[in-house]
Amino acid sequence: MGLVQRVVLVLVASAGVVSGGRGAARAEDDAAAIAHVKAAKRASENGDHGKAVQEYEAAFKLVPNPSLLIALALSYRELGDVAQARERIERFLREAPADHNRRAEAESLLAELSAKKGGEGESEAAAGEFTPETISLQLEDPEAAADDKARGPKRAVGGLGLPTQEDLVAPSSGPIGDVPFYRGWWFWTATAVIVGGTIAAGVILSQPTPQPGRACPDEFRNRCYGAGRE
Amino acid sequence: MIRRRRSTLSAGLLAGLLALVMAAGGACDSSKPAPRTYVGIDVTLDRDSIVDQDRQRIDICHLLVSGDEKRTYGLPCARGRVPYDYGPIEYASDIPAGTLTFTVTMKSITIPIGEGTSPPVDIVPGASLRTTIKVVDVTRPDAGADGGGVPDGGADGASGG
Repeated sequence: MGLVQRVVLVLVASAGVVSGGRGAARAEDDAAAIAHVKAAKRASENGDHGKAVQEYEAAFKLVPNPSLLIALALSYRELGDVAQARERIERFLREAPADHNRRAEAESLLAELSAKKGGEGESEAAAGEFTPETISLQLEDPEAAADDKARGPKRAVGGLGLPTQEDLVAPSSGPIGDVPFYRGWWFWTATAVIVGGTIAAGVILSQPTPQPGRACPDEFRNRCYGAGRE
Repeated sequence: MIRRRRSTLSAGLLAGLLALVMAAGGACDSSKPAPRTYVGIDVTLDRDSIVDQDRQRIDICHLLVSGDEKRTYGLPCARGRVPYDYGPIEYASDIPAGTLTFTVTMKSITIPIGEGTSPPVDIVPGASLRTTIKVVDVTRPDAGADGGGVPDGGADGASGG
């Protein structure tokens, strides 16, 4: 195997190692984030919203999934921290893709929080589906649970607005969940490395290998011309 | 489901790129040049047409390669020291197939004195071929009628190498 072929193999292998190593690290982050989200859900169900906030924040640091911002906003709201809740919802609206399937939900929540911040004395019941009573009802209502299931894995669990495991798996394709894998930096970096290496290798390999010139036989008394003698 | 689809796409992409690399490797193999063909050319001056006085004036000599390869080379040619039996020269070609014709021109500064052309030589990669050129007086009206070459001195006498 020639030097150039070895260079090509090293390039391809390097690209594979880079993307593979990156994928393994992301898988670990995904697993840890899922564990944090599960702990947060348990804490929420037990009424420990402070603990839920901590767990969601930890999950968000590992996997910056926009759905976690909604979960955080809900937990902050339960703690009565409207400012933090608003900040999370506003961030969701800034950073989540325009077609994110929970954008309407976030806008509704933001409207509710804005009304609260305004101190207009609007009751929580008027805010609709985000009141604790509603959440409780949804948890106990089998029809609501079935409806959530029917809406697919991207929907919140039990109407709580919490991210599902599928939500957290999605970010392995990029820095923000729900972003197609082909929009991730790692995809284009690996593609550029492999395609660039392939093109460079092709150009190099397409150059004809120069043959060693035959020595001019004595018979011709140094009057040798043509290939390898110019 | 999403992850499965993504891994399928990634596997497809990787397979495509590997195919590209292998294709590049295949292109590399096919870009290897053919073994060279060596053509020995025996050059003589025609004693009947080039008088000794003209021979003594020759000081510029060229080898012109034509056909499937086109090259021009200056040949050693010192004034007063160009013998009737100029001697053999060798040309090496990289082309894998085709036909080459060799012409030797001899001048005194810019005045043509003699010219001779070989019969066409068919390329045989890896072989050592032989041909001849007889340089004749180009000022003669009938010069070049047969190209100046020796009728039976072409590639027929080639010996494989």
